[in-house]
Amino acid sequence: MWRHSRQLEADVQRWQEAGWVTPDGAKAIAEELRAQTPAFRLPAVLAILGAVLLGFAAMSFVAANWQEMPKIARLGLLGAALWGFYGLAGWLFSRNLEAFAHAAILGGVGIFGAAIMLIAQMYHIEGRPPDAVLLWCAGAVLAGILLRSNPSLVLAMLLAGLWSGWETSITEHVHWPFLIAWALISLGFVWHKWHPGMHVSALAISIFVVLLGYLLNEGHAHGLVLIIGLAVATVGILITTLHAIPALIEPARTSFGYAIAVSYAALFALQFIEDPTTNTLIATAVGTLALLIGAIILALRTDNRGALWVAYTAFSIEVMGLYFKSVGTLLGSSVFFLTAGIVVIALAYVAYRLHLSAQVQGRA
Amino acid sequence: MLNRIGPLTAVIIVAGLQTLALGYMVWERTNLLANGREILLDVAPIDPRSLFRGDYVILNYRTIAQLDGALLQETPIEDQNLYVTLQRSAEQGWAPVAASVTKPARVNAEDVVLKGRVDHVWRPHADQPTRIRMHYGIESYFVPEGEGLELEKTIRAGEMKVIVAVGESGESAIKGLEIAGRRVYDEPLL
Repeated sequence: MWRHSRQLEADVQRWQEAGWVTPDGAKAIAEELRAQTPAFRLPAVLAILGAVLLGFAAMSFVAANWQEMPKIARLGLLGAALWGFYGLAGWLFSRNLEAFAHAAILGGVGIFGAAIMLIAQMYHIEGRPPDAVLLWCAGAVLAGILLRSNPSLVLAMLLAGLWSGWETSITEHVHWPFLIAWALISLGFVWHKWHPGMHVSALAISIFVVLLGYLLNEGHAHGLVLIIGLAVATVGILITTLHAIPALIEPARTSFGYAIAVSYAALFALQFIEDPTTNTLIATAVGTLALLIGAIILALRTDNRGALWVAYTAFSIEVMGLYFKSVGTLLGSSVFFLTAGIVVIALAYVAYRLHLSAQVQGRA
Repeated sequence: MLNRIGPLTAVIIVAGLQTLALGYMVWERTNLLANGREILLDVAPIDPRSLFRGDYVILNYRTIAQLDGALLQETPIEDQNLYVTLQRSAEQGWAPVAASVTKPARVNAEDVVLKGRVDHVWRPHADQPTRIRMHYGIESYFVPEGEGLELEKTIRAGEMKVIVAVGESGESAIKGLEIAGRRVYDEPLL
């Protein structure tokens, strides 16, 4: 954010010198920039970190020796800590110190989790550990939605992942209820119009979809994952290029990058984990490289940096993977490097042509 | 929502609901301990090296930790709930007489139904019945600091029994320990 505005200031100065922007216009832009407060300020970040540390302090109470206290005193202490944090949050809200209030809320959610564990310890409740995580997650969602606390929603997403992962490790089956938790938390992010939260949601669902490939059909469902990834990528790129639904363009751009990542994760598993026959591997590898080059071209066309980064990374991993797979087996290393070189040069050529056509369009 | 109901109200709702959830956890447990039926279960001596993890004891119940597959008609799968009917006898104490994946509709008034979860199902030899390793949620006991070694000795001497409270739905909780016929470590409710 800071970097962006600093660069913009320099640009504006340059534009003013070139006569494209009037001095009044430059002043208005500078004021507008100053009015935009950065999303994260240092005190807020420190306050959040402080709350996280206090949360950990409370959790280490589990291991600490508090056996001497009677149960009722321990319960009282937990209740007081819980209400203390939320009370502090309410007071900070009333003083308009929102950032600190959100830190206090996060502290309260942390205490809630610690209290669940401590009560389970005090009463020898063993139960299913994921149930305790789910209860904590529910508390975090409640605080996240009711108090518009985005940090709590992020914590809730982490806890939902932990809950689901734990259930999956016990049952060794896909844990579909994760989708309910995911949808609820994601709705919170959408409702708060909090952009980083949408990335949290996209990342969480991407991991879930990729893991489906390892869990469904006795661990061989990567084809399904690929279909899901490609379908989302197609819808994403259609919405982005057709400009049909303006409200959905930004989410579509974001999902395109994640969908490419999901598709490539499936293709990686199909090539390097599933142990395919040589012919299948060659066909899949050619398809993968074509898909990734296509993704790079589309990302460049739509100026989608996130997707471009994903596609480039996937391309590098693919090339590395094919190299390790091909050494001594498939083709000679030299043939491999020849092919890879030709592909990369072709890619550079395509990028150059795109650049040219963009310039021509710009001039026209 | 914050704008509509005011931050203070929202904060009170969140803190209140979270307190209720914690309160319910405590209430459920104290209710079980206070009103559940008491049974006494033997614990088997186990390798002392695996006995302690931190300051809690792992309890290996002599009669119910492993069930004979012949106790029930169907073969259960791992992680499935299992209802074990326990009957008291003079020589064995509380021991399983039947087990089922659904809660038995009626049992003798003296018997107790304990709910557990299947950990593992296996067959030691092809001609032997299956064995089922069970988990009831009463396998670990947090020991007061510094008293772990003492407990370890009594368990190895085979003198310790665990007092378990069993609720109507088969839920169970450790209520206390009995050493050489004497009740020690009675769990305080609050």
